Amino acid sequence: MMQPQDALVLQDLEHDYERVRAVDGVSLSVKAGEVVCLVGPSGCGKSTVLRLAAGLETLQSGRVSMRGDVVGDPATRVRVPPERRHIGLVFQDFALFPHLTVGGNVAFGLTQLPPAERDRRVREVLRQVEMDSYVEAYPHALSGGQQQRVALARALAPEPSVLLLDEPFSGLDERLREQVRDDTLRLLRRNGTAALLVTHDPEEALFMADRIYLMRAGKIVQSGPPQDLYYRPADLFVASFFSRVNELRGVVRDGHVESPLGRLCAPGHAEGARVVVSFRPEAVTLSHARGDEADGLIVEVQDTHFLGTGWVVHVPVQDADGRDVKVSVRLHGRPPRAGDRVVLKVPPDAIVMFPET
Amino acid sequence: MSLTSQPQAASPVRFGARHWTWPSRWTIAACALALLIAAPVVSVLINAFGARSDIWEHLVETVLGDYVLNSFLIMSGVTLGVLITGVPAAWMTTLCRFPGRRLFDWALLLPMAFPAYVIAYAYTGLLDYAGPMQTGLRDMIGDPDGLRWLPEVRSLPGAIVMLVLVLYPYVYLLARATFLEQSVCVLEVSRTLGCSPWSSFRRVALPLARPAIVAGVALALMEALNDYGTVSYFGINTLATGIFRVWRGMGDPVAASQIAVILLLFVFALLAIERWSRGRASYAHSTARYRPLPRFELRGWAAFGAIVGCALPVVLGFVLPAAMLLHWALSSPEYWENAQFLGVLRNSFVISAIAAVLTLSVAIVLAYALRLHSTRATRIAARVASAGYAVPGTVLAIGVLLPLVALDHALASWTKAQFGWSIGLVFTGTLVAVTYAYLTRFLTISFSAVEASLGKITLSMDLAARSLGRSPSQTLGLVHLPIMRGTLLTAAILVFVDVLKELPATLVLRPFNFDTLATRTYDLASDERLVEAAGPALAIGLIGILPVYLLSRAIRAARPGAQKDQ
Repeated sequence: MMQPQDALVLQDLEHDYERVRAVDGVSLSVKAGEVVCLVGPSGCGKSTVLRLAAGLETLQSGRVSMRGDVVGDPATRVRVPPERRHIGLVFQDFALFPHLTVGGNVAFGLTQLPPAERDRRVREVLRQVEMDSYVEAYPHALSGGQQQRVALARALAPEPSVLLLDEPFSGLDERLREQVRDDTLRLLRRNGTAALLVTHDPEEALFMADRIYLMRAGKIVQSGPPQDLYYRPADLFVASFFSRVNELRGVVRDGHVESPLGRLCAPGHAEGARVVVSFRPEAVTLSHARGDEADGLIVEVQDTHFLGTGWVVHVPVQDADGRDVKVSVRLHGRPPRAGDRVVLKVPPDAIVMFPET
Repeated sequence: MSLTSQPQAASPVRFGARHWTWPSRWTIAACALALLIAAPVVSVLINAFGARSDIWEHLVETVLGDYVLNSFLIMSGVTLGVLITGVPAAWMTTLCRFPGRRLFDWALLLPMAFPAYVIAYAYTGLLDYAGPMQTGLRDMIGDPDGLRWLPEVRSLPGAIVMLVLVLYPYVYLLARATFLEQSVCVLEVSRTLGCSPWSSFRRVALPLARPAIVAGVALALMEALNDYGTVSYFGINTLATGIFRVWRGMGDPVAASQIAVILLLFVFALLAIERWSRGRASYAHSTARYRPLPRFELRGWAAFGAIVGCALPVVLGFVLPAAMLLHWALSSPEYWENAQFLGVLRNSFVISAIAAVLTLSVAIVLAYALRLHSTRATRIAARVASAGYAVPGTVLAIGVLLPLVALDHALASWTKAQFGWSIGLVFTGTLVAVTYAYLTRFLTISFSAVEASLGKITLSMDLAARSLGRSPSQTLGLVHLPIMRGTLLTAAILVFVDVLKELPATLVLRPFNFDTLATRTYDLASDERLVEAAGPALAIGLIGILPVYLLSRAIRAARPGAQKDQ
């Protein structure tokens, strides 16, 4: 199953802290030149996976390989220390050495090169992150964004097999974050660097990743390209992780579910099973009710909120159980007013159904 | 080798059959060093319980009761003294406003510069029958034979006063720290609820500061039990002087070790109290935010009282003895303007520097081992190694000397048997023995400094260095040590000065004819040559100001909010 072009392969990793299983059978791979995001809520074990990959944590069970070589496997007692794994690490707090200049920081990992070569490489990498005029500066004199770029340059300078990034943008304020994210992605693409990025931010994962692994409670729940996870979530957790979803409840009868949205096809669900009918706020369309609609649900708008990039509209809906559910709708154009009667429609391909848990 | 997730995080415990690996070199080094540090106390215990003493029963019947009683009286007196000196001073300088407050803030630390035995010599010279104070008073009342009723300095109460004067800063420092930290969260509330300064002190500040104050008293009492110079000069029989008297005077190391065990019981009780209260003290701090303190304005008599209350300890604990020593030193410069004095000075500097560097190196190895592998073994090693400060110098002296003498003799006879010549006294005839004792006693100071400083370096630094191809040792040398430069220097200075002031272990363990400032001062004072002792005594005090300066700078830097208030 391992391909030579795989920069990093993790197989069946398990890790316990005291009596708690932090990582429970995680397997993932990062191909050469690929940016992979490991995403999940805090405490799901994603950082531990990164530390196991880097060799910073003693592997208890499973196997870590890099470029086809096994670097960690307790079963065969292979344990390559982090300093000999050819990895680059970027941290949330950047971890620049405060007693060294920017140049000194970037040169730190270039021990194999002769001095002249080393200087050349330092300047080259710093130029890539547009920090070449700060070679002599000390980290404390730099802004957060600049520090992040130096940290990236330092990690990339020795040309690591794979770059591991642990929440690398969380330390930056929101306005800066987008810019730095963009720059980082461009740099990784240009160098063809394989990267494994750990983040808790779903938007960041969608933005950065070629492929996403979503983790929960030590396990990978779903993996694939961003669109797959967004549009074809494996369960309700995956669906609601990437953005808010509206949830309606119902019961399967004759392969169909009765819902306020109409009678919906429920393939693959057992007869009599309770299911959750979910759809995203931006999939919903609203139009003013004329009273002669053939399909769609006529509802009364409860309230509207302006968000800058659009509007959020709340409409109360009664689901099949008779419970009141507040459906959230994202609109870009002019919204209806509170109290307006509107027709609510959701395209069938935007509806996903999960068994109720 | 690997790094654990966090220094404080628990190590991974493996379920089922996982693979056993050798402990790392760092763990082994830490455990070996801990054993080395614990060895003197272990040797005292072995000596005390391993053999029978001929005179022990005799001692129990005669002087042992006195030893225990006097030590107990000194502890009681010192407790009372440091409390009534240190706590009000801390409260007034942190939570009140009165003229001179900012000066007293650091000046109250000055008495730490002198060891108790030095001010004991100064006060004896100042207050004795023939001293300037009594002579002056007799001249004043015109009766050359009067004032016989004046209390004697060289007495048990006198010794207590001397110890209180140099030891109250422990209580002052710790109480001060808690008063500062608790102020923001509760004192403002207590003021808005209408508490007067006095009732806010009694009902809010004091109860919250109690754990810290108890810890401060425990530290002061450990120092009081460690004192040998003052009580022996004043002719008071305590457990500390008893050890030396029985060992050196009566030639019975077993009985001396047994007395040392009694002293250790006192000390370990104090150590337990101190650690327990420190643990509780940390709960009392509920905020880390700094704001200008709500200070009580003192006026009129209250302000005057505060000034006197703060000035008295400084004047009595530092200004007066320093002036007396300075007067002696300047009136007879021939005693210290000579090559002998320079030789003593050089000895003190050499041995203190060696001890400081060694202690710091050991502290770095221990603290770094704990950072790399926070396992049960390294944690216990660190705990054992950092308990040495509690062991009195007199106990250390016997605990270090007895095994080293045995080792020396064994080594000498072995070389004689093997090669036909004796190697001589490798340990006890050189600086090895005394350096070993210093290492044991002062490791705590540098260990806690290094540990705290390492704790401030984020673990990602280690990880970054490791991922960039450096081993743990290289990471230590290239990243941690350069970042900690300042702390390391401070820690080295603290150890340097404490070694310079140390008396009992130095007296016993130094090589023959090797005089330091401390031993020279002690020897001269014991011969009643107080004026001659002034030179080395003053030198100790002047060098002792160095840590006071560092400490006062540190407490000012620790509280940015305090800069703005007046």
